Amino acid sequence: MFRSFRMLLCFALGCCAVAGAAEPAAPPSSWLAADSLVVLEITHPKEVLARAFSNDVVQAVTSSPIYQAQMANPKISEFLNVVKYFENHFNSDLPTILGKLTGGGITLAVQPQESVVMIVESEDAKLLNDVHEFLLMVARNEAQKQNDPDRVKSAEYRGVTGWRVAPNEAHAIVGNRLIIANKPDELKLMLDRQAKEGGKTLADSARFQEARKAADEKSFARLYVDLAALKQLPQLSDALNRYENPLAALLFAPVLGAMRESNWISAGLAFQGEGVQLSLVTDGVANDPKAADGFAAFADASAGAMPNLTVPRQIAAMSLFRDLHAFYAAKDKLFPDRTSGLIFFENMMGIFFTGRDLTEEVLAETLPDVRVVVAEQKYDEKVGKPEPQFPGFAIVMRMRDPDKFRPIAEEAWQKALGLINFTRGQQALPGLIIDRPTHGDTKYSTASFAPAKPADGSAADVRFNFAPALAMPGSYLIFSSTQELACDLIDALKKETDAKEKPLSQIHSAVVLDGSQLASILKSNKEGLIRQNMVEKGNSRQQAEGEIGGMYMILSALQRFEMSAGVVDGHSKVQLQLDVKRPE
Amino acid sequence: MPMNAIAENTTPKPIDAGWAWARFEPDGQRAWTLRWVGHLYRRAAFGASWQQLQDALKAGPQATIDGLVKPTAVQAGADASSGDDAVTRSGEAGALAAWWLRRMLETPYPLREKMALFWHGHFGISQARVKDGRLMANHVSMLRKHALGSYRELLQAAAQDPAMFLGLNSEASRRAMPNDNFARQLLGNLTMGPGVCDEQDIKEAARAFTGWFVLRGDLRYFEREHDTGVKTVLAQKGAWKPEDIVRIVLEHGESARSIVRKIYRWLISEVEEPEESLLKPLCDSFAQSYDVGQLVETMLRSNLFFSETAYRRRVKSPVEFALGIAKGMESIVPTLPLGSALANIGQQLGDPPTVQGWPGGRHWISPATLTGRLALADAMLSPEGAYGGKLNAGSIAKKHGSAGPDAAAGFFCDLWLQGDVAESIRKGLKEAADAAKSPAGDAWFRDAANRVIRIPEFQLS
Amino acid sequence: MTATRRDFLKTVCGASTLMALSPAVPEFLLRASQAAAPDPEGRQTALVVVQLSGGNDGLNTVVPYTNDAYGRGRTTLRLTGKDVHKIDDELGFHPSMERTLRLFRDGQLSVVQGVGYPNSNRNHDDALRDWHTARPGEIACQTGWLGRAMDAVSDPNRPSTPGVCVAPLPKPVLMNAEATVAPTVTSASQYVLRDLPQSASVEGNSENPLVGFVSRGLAVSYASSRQVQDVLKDSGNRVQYPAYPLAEQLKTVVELVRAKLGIRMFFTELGGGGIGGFDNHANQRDNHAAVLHELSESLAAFSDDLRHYKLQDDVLLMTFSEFGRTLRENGRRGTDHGAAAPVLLVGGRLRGGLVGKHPSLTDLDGDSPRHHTDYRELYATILDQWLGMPSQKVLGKQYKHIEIVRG
Repeated sequence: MFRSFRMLLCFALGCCAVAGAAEPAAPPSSWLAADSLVVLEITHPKEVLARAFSNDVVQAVTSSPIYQAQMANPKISEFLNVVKYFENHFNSDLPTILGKLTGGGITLAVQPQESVVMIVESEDAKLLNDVHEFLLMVARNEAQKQNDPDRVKSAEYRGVTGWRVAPNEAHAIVGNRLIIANKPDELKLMLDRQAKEGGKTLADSARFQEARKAADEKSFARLYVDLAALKQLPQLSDALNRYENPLAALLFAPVLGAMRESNWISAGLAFQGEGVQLSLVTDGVANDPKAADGFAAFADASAGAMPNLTVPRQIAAMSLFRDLHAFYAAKDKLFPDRTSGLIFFENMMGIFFTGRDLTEEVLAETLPDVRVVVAEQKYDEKVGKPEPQFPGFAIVMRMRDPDKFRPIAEEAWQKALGLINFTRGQQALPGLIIDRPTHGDTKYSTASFAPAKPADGSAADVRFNFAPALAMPGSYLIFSSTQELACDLIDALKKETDAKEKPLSQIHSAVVLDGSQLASILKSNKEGLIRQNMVEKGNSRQQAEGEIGGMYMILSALQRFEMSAGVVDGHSKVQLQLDVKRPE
Repeated sequence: MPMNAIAENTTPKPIDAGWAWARFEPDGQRAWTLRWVGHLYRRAAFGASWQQLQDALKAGPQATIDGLVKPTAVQAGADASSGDDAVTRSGEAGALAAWWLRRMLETPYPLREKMALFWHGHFGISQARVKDGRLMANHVSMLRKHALGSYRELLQAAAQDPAMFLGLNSEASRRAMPNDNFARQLLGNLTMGPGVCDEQDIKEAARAFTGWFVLRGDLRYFEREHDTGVKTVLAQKGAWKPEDIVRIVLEHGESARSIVRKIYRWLISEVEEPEESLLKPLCDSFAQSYDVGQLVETMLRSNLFFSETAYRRRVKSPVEFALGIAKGMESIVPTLPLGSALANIGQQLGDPPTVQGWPGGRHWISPATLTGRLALADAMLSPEGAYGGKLNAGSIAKKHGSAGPDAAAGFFCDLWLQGDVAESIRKGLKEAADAAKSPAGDAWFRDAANRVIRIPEFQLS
Repeated sequence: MTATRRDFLKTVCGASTLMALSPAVPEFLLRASQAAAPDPEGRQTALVVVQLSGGNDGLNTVVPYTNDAYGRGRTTLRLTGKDVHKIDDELGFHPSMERTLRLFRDGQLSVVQGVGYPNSNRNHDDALRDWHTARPGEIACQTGWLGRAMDAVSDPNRPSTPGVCVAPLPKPVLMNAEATVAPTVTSASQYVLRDLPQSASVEGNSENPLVGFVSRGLAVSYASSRQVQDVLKDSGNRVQYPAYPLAEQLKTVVELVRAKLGIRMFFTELGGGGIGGFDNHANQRDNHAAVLHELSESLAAFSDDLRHYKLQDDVLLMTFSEFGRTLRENGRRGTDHGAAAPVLLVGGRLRGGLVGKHPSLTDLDGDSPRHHTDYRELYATILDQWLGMPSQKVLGKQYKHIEIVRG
């Protein structure tokens, strides 16, 4: 019983905060240590509660199979009973009680020496005291039952009563604030600061003030991280200075670079339309084109990644501002241990590109505009649907000198096809047949497998997921795993050119993801995933169907995810937007 | 549960064949006890749940064997995981082993899977050589279909199975250059055993297989490449074709003897080589019918099967070791990770090491493979990791009324070893149980189960 | 007490049978292991095989830098006296192999030159199979030379683990045996069993010979677990291994050797699995330098580590590659599949130096050096003189020995 109440207490504290009511005399930050490492402030808990307990959400959650499954768990139903008892005792519903208890805001801080403290500001000091008394009573009863009556202790300090109900816990009530710490000494220090006798506080920290200014005004929750202090940790500084693999370097270098230059991170979470928006800001900017990982540096203010392309049945798209030539030229510095593998890759490229140097004669021919598009595909009726079904994926780049580079790329791609066909031939597998069709006014190359239906009526072979294509409209180069996606991209690029789209100024990475389309491809592969789940997890078919169904539900609820990262007002900024819809 | 009295060795020596193969009828000297039930389920299946053991104890030996030989569920047309073919055909790494292991656990007809596994080793065809998941899955289906049927039909089917030809490096056999790999295996391991016929027989038999090619996964016959001449195989002359060679070699007395000996090793004992006279009645009848089901049934129902000559006289293969644990724990386990764990302790389903299959017996056991076995058992019973808590020793012990440490330790010992272990070991288990003052959570049960698995007898079938 | 049990006690405990009756199981197990692992007749030797996948260019590994034919054949890949680490006036190690020269000078490394076989295959898979099976051209042969060696020495009454595969390759044919299982070991910690408080004893009481047999195996398993735990605990002062996959494998080998588990044969690998490797048909220079650097640094760390624990006299390492490469460059700054190549040996009981002459570069076999030493002679020497295993049984005939091992 006691454990459940502790859970409830944690739940209550974890979910709550200060409503935008009268600003208290001293902000919570003035009770925290000046060298706090991480500070999370939930400034508008009632907004969160209002959304979390809105009728739509409650109905959607309670009707979901995952929820139904959880209800069978005895621990969960025990918890719900406790909630009911609590609601009866205070003659109100849980969201209202929580809202009042935490309406002034919640602040959680991790300070040096593994100390963790929390400040919860109630709207209703009397209710706070009542709930506290109630919980103390429960704790005492429980301690009595376990023959440990001394477990609940109290002591006075600076005229405030401090309480302990567990070894790693100490708390006190100061006015309408509940303060909790994992060590009693930490509680005393907070009370010293409250009495303005504790020396410098976080509110005095210039770093904190600066970070806070950068946070989004509309946010209901904010996070502050003292990066300068955390970077003293060797693990973190190592992680910021090393790249696991070339792909990770290519994708994350500008963000890691910015963190290396930064003293703080400030994050804000805000409701935006139907979804939630997370903004991450740091004070450092990595824009040195001479640095080994400076291949995403902007030459001028208008430079940046192009907006993402849009095609039918699109699952995801990514647009990067990356100078591939600079990236590859710095490979020895970026990943010294992987030289052998990279050289081998270079050798293969050397064959495809007829001995041209990959760095200076191939990658140098590209502009820093790299886009990737992933879309679900339609299949030829003559073949049927393969199992598993892969989405089509394509990479779109831009050439510096299209007339010069077009034949080089075409030749490399046909050599690669030849190699694939030769290797498949050695294994007695069907090969690709090359075609040069025209789409709009673009003549392009594609290669596909001759249609063949399996005699025994089973699904088409996995090879029918691929009909690779190379198209080079204007200065663009499209390399796609399917012919269909290549054509859709030719159309999308034409639209972009006609609309004279401009780059997203000072944005180096932009990603969009469509949840319903992702759910749709999951649905197409449902049978295979269920079977995989059965042997991987030892589930029955029914259990496997439940798990895959749950994944489907979550993905369909995720309507759209967008991320963009770049430089705004001299700070590095990463913005994420998550739009959700009610599950079907 | 009291320890079962170790039955006196009632086997007369030298063993009288008449007594040996007569039906076992329990009497005062050899009662139908849990000890024999456990023995039967280890050999004719992949172990048993507590309920199965108890049911069999009530039903008696012959009725229990009826259920193993002709399960009512199968007669009604049901079989577990019959839909596994589609996945195995995909040829993904590990799919064949994963779905076969799952079938072994779920099937109402474990004896058929047990014999399919026997034939898998016997034919020794390996995915590493076949290199085609679909063909390999078809090969295993063929073994399963004929597992308890006629060996004659099984061999004829094998002579039409592309996986056999690929697995024996016989994808092409031309008139001008006969490939003798298939004939060598057919006249050796598959029938009479190695060293019975001479090179000339193999060369002649190989000519009968000319004209057969595997092209893009299909077995094809080209008349122009077939050597239509007269061949002399085992002293029989004729313009033989493959099916004739199968017939001729099965007519040789050594073929039936060799297969009976192999199945004796599989079902009865791998410790002592049986006397020729002991096997004679079985060989004589098998040479007539080549009816595997009948042979297996005779062995399982026999006095000899329920005697000290057979009891714990086999080393469990890795598959038997792992599935015995899962069966006792009454749950399906994640068979994909299990398949690769078994490969590392010496038994990769779908990939026997050579065309001789797995030699088994003492060869399964080395310090490394034993460590691997114990670590695998521990992982399977763990709530975390690849096996994700599918096997819960605590809940099984409690379900069968053994909630306390002492009772649970005894329960696992009864479940897997039918309590048939030395008094000192029982004492050790009890001491460990007593030392566990207040078993919090299920961790203690897992340790107790592991302790029983670490008893040497657990490695024996 | 049954005969089997007495036998068991004698085997694992020597004379001190009383120990077995003691409830102090760990102590008993420790003794069991001490008796079980090293051969009572003498020191137990181990062999480590390193496969260089893809066909190593022997001519740019042990370089005939003053040879005119070499100079003419290699236009972009030529290494001169300025580049190489000189062994003598004619030969030198590749510029990346500085530490290999040091091992050579310390007497810890030998080079066996011109190793190959008649009508050698130039297809990767077929040539590798030939090296693994030691039965060139026998497609149907499914066992490897080390696999057959394991079968030849395994005694069904004494459970042992004669060989393990440390390379991240699935089932190398080299270690495939008809009967003996060679497990894949990716980390020595695989040998560590979770300690159960109050573990049940390993003794078995039975007339059943299999019970005694399994009991002996379990005794060795528990003892091995402890020995590996001790080895892994003692990691102070250890030689620093470079962050290469091969170095990682060799580090595991040394840990297993130190734990004295009685493993006689180890298989490791460099260059396969994924991109990278020794098969350089184009732009060979940098890639070859990188893989040779990995080889050289890994071998040096391995040798240093063994010497740190004074185990260098118990371990012999040999490299091999499926074939060497052509003398002449192919016009793509690379070389093609060839024939004979040098084999490197590392260990404390080598005669040292160069074994055999550098093959002629004017009398070539399909533009590649001819072999003068059959690889099966090398295998036979290692089996007979190093491992003490019957080479004739393993290789099917008696090959002549070459002078590599010090007595």
